[in-house]
Amino acid sequence: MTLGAYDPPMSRISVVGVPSSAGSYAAGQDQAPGALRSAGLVEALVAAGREVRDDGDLPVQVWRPVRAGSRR
Amino acid sequence: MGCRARIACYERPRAQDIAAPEPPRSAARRDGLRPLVRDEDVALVGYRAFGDNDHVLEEHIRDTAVTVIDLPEVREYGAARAVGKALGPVTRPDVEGFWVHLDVDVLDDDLMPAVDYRHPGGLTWEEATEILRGLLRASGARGLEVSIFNPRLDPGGSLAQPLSDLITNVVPASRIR
Repeated sequence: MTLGAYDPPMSRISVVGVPSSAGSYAAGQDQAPGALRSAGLVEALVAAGREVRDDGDLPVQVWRPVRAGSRR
Repeated sequence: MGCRARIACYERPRAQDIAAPEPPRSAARRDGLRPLVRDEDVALVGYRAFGDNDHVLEEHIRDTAVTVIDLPEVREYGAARAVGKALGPVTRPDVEGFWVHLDVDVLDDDLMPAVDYRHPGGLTWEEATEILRGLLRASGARGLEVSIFNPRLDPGGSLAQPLSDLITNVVPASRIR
């Protein structure tokens, strides 16, 4: 999950979910944006007075083992 | 966005972390990639080492120009001083801004066990809140990314909420115009 400013220093923020397990030992991290959204992250940011633009999630990247010598 | 510097809240850097502040040079050379951020523009907060894995591919983080504020230092001097030290390298005049990367395994393993690579100890929610809030309030802060959280390892589904709360609590409020 990435929160980036489009009007720095972070006075207005954009939220982007990146459902990827790249670099991890096993699948599962790709579910983090969904879990945080289900926990109400975006709504909580808005309720707390943050000016938020929700830019959605990037396409899911399916986890797979990295073969020796390959580039991730 | 032109961000050239990054503050990382890592348990420890790993070559396989695509967002690692800088992979060991040996690894970078091996796959032909080059670091995207200069060592001297990086600060590492909450580092904790373990005897058998303290070196990553022949290079140790302490042998680089990365500013390291380890967990014992955070505990000894407090979060505010850790923030000040971390901001030093990333708020120099020649650095346009910085990005905060939070690997959630910097948190105490008892509090955030839903990570692939577990080790005991780590920051409390309160410490993480104070550090991240301090970093993100700095004028050069451009954003925050949160990684490593693995909901599959949270079968009760209880950890996304405190993590969401942490994020909400550390992102600065919108400024009045």
